Amino acid sequence: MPHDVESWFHKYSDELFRWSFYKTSSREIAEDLVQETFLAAVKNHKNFEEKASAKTWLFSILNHKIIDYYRKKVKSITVDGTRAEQNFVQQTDSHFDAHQRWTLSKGAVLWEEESHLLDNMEFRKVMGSCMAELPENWRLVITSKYLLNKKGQEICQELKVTPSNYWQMVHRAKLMLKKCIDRLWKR
Amino acid sequence: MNIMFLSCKQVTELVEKKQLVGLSTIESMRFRLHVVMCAACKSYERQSLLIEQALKRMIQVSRSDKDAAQLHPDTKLKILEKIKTSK
Ligand SMILES: [Zn+2]
Repeated sequence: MPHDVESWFHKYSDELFRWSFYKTSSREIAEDLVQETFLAAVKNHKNFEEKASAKTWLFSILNHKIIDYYRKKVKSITVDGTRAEQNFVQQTDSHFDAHQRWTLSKGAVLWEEESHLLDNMEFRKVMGSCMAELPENWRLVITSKYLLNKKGQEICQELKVTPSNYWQMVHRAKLMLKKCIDRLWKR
Repeated sequence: MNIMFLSCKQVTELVEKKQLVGLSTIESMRFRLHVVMCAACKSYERQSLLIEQALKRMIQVSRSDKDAAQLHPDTKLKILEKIKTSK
């Protein structure tokens, strides 16, 4: 009954929202998913077993919605990349010459040799700006394994992509990040 | 394309494959053969691993940033309205 669902909403909506905000990194998407979760709860109320915990039930609905969201996003990359994504693919191709060798600029910085790089606030800032430059869907691909907490084959199954499709996407995103860090990280 | 020698582009792809599902014996042999001779790819592999760690760190920080996040009151009213009217 909507009555129960209403009281669940008062009790759990913020917690559900924080979870979906963390998983999607977008306030709007997170709000939409919370709304969909509660509407699904109204609709499927008779499937809810009285003995079960409402909170657990709501979280399981939300988690399905989150995975669905990821799958759609990843699918849109492989099926109909937007113009921004096409540019992006061309750009990563330009990192290599006709013989597929690196076209590195002469003064390339060897930032990987820096010690304690990950604790360096400047580096974190650079990393943040470079992430912001990635097309949204690609950002989602490379953060997905941490956000969904899956490794290797599992993340591919979860996202319904083949491993080779997945590592090619990660490959492109990483190349962009590398180039961006090369550019922004000055010693 | 040479059977024994991989291009830099192929090697950078294998860097990701290696992290995700691991390489076959042949792939791993070709990979090492290339990296031994190519400083750019050698340094790229380390960069890729560092980016990976940095991403992980970023996600952890982003989670603690959202600890106190709440649904906007207007959004709450809107969703409640929808719950009431949908049956
Ligand atoms: Zn190389």
